Amino acid sequence: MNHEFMRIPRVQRLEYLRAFLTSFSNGNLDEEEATKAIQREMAYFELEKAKALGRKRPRESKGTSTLPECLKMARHLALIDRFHRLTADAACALDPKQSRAFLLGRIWQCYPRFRQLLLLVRNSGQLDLPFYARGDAFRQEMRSQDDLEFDHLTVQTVRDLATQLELVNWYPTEDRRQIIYPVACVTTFTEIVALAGLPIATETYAQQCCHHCGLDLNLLTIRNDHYELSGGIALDVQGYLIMQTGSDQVFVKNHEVPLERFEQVLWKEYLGLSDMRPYFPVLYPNLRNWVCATLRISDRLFDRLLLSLIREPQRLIIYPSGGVLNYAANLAHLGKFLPPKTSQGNFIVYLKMDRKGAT
Amino acid sequence: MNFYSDYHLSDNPFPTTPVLEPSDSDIRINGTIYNPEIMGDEIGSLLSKIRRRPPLIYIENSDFVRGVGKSALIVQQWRQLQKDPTLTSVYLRSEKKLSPADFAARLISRWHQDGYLWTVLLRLLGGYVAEKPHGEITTAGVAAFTQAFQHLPHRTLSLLNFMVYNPDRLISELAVWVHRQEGDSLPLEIAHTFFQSYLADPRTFPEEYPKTLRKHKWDHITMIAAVYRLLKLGGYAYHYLFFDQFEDVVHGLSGKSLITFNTEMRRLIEASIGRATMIVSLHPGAHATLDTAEGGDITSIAPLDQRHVVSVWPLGKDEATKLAQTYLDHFRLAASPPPNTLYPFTADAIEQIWTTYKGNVRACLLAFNYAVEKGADEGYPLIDGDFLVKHHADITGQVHADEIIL
Repeated sequence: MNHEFMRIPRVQRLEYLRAFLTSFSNGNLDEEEATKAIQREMAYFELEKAKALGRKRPRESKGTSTLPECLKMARHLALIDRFHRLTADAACALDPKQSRAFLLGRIWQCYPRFRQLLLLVRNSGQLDLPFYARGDAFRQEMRSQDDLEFDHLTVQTVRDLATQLELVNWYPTEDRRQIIYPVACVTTFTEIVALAGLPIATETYAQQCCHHCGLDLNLLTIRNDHYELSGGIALDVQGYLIMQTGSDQVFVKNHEVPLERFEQVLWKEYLGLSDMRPYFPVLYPNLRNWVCATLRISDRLFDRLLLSLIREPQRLIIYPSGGVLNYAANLAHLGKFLPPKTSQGNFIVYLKMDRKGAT
Repeated sequence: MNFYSDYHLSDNPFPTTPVLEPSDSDIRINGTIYNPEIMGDEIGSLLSKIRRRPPLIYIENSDFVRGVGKSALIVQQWRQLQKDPTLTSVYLRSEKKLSPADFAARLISRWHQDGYLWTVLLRLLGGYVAEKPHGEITTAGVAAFTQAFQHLPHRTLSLLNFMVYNPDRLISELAVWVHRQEGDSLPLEIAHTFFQSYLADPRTFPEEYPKTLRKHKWDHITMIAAVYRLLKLGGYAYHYLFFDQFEDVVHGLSGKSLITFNTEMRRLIEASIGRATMIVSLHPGAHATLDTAEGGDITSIAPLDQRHVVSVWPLGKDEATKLAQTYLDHFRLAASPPPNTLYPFTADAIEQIWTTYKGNVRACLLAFNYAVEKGADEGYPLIDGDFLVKHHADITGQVHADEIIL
């Protein structure tokens, strides 16, 4: 596992990779079965999108180009061998408990562009990129960010993979751009060690990440306002994902937010979208975009916290309701904006809320 | 029973539904309440353009929000211009899918219904008899006819009562007489139809003239050009035509339908040059539609520039106060003078409402209405800043800024 690959296979969703891996029969690849498995996954996903948009007929995807991309990624990540047989590591990628940490570690190690872009997002706090620019126009924008040579497809692939791995989140803006921001604190052992002897710095987001991680993991101590190397790493610190990547280690900690703060930001952003009107329906994905950007959390965490507030109201009464999402034929990223479903299987398209006891 | 006497008012002065309906008898919504100090800049800009008489004036809101007062400006100026006896001022509410020919038909119908064309007939009879005192109708006959029918009669007329023994000849002579004065712009057939229906049964005019148009393959735009001439002969030299909600017609048009609309609109404008000014309301979306290549037919005659566009801005703080005061003044009880002109409001309360709604006239009027109603519910207290904070959600429908923090 020492190989690095410059091109990241265009696997838009990790579900397709998992479907590809589960299609193996007795550990061997059956291309026909693998294509069918990916197509099933795509068909399910398109059906969900069609339901959310209120369309009767889902869009049809052949999925033929996805199979070779899944094959490449599985090879890169050493999930299959050169004879296209499953390796023992494939089980880790398929195990829901280990999947995130395992895939994150492997992807980080195999694809330098993945880690370059993630560290760029972390170092700049957020990336503001064109949503529809292609070719040279896009490359030029990327060069202006950090002199990096990225095409739009690579950025899109990294963004989508990192979003699913809950490392970043993003939203499109009205002026046809996209903002990508971190939702997890990512640092490496090398970065933390390099701080030794330097004065404390917590001004930027990247500095805060290194500072907290170094102290939390007992890699650093502070003496006379300067960092010093500590005795050894504390491996049992809660909330950290620690991955060995070659000679380095990567530490990942998801942003956490207390329920009270989440509720406060939810209310504030809701009033912003509803023009200060309580009990006025706002689109779930819109509200989620704003709250997640403010709190720098993933969509999944938003959904979880919101559903808990619906089940057990605190200071707000939240009314979820059904409906149809705005139809946008070119919005290929609708999957990212799908709201969660109720227990009856209906999408929560609108949210209305008011303070408890306000009326 | 008056529920508002404790506030020294005969009724809630502010409309429950702040929309303009000129035909309604309620002064809160028919545009009668007028204070030239409110939207003074906009009124000044519109009057200056009205004086110059361009073919088209656009009244446009400054941003995408509705309810800034375009319709109010239109209705009030329409009413003001009606006071001038030498011109006509006509208000039409536009509807989706109306074509320029439909506008022309509605204008003719309005001139007919409002009695302008009847006045024209009386004046033309007077002119005719002065020129031909020994014609088919006598001076005494015209005087008696004018005396008997000062306003548009909604019944059959008998010219025999006015010593006209050959009505057909009279009609023909009148038609030839006006045609000679105006030439081919006032076709003989249209003039004949006008006199024939107006001197027999004026109610039939709206049904009769389209038959003449169909017979000669003319449309309503040809007809309106002829009617302009008739109106001029009858003493109405110029016309101000107000098309409210014009944006509803334009917005959403594109491609072929926009080109067709614009070509026809251009004909209507050309028929009106030197005779009428059309004043149309536009919102920025409709502005964008007209600003396309397909919209060129209209905008080449009347560009969307400062000479043709009146921009309507949200109210200023002082204007919001004057707005409230003007409405309150119209509903004061003569026998019960209030402690001050803004009562039951305080200047602070007006300012808060103005700030909340960023000067949007419609939203401010609605909030004033709700505030008075809430005050009546609460036992007629002074409507001040504290009252607004306490009942903010009831009055504005919005959460107060202080309540953002849970």
